[in-house]
Amino acid sequence: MVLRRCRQLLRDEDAALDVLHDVFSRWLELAREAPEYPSSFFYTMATRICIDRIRSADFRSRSDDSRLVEIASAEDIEGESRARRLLDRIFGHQQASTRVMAVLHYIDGLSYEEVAAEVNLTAAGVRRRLQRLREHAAKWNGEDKS
Amino acid sequence: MSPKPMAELLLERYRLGELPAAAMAGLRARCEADPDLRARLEALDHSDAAILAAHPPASMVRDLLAKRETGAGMRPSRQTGLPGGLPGRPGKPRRDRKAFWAAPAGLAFACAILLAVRHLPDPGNTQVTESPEAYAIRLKGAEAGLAIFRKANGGAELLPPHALAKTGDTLQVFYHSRGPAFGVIFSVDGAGSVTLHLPEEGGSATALQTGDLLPLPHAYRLDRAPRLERFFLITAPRPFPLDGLLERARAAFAVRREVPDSLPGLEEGFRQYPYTLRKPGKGGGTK
Repeated sequence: MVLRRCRQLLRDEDAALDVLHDVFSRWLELAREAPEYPSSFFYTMATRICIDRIRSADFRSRSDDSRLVEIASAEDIEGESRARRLLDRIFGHQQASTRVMAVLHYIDGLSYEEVAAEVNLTAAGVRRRLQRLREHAAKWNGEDKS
Repeated sequence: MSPKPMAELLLERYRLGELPAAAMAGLRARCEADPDLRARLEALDHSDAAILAAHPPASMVRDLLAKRETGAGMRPSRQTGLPGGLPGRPGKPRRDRKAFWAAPAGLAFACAILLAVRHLPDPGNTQVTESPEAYAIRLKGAEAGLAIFRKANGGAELLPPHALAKTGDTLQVFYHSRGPAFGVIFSVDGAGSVTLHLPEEGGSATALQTGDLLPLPHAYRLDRAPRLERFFLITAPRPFPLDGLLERARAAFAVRREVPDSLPGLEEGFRQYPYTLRKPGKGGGTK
């Protein structure tokens, strides 16, 4: 399941395996108690690490298949540094889980309620976070255009 | 209006039985009525099989261990194999203690999540069998223990204690030990036969390697003996002869013509870790 998730987001077998190792390695480093729903925990952790990987310019330059990478590539048309800055500004100013929420909602098609169940928030909380993310994106888009 | 497409994550959680009961029931009904959903579930089954074939648990664990040895972001070369050797062997760098001890269960847990060939829970199934994940969690806290994998679909699946295994299954036994100890691993089957697994020949108990789950040198094929096969890991802080111990296991079986739950009369300092696999058919349950 975790490898499938990594493949889905990264579209690169080597990178997917690498992230797969990262996921379990990080879990081991945390030495934390097992979560109530292990699949959910590992799925969202894999999503987060994949997003980090996708954010790297190197990865975006090599891949063009996932919707996440398509978004990054669309910005790249206007200039990679600007696109990267935009993504960094959108994602970098948000709590990490917001990026995961965004992927779960916009890419995977989960409802607010379903996302909320995955990230242990209320549906209203998820809606607010994603709304803030959209506002930031709109604001920075506007700044970049100015 | 047709319902919105089912998110992949929810299907994955459904397959693993990790949705709340109401959601499980709802999704089960939806799957029964929707051939597309059933096809997606089948595709996930095929994907599992392909992943198991391409990435057997043993190699996956080796890669993960190697990565942890070499540092984040460095996946070991498939050609060169392990750069750091297995835990507990001389010359390897010491790892963070917390992470070190977290590894055995983590690896089993990882295998369980990564590679589990787990079927949907059957509401009518009342057998008491731990899930691979639950067992891995329990193993994490144990001083020592066993984990048994079964060769399946070109890969392997973790058989938690009390899981069903059948004649002809090829089993790979792993052990872990937190601290230095001497040990023996043997099994008693439903016919009373005692098989020594570690060491493979009699004599004295083996000095166990500490740390992560370690496979025994050879896999084991389950024979026709009825009811169950119970594996025992017996540890002690000092070397001990095996003959008396194995004879005690045979005698314990002879008393009641049943595989003993535990080995009686162990001396102080000895510990035992039984691990039972049930076999199909009458009497295949566990006590």
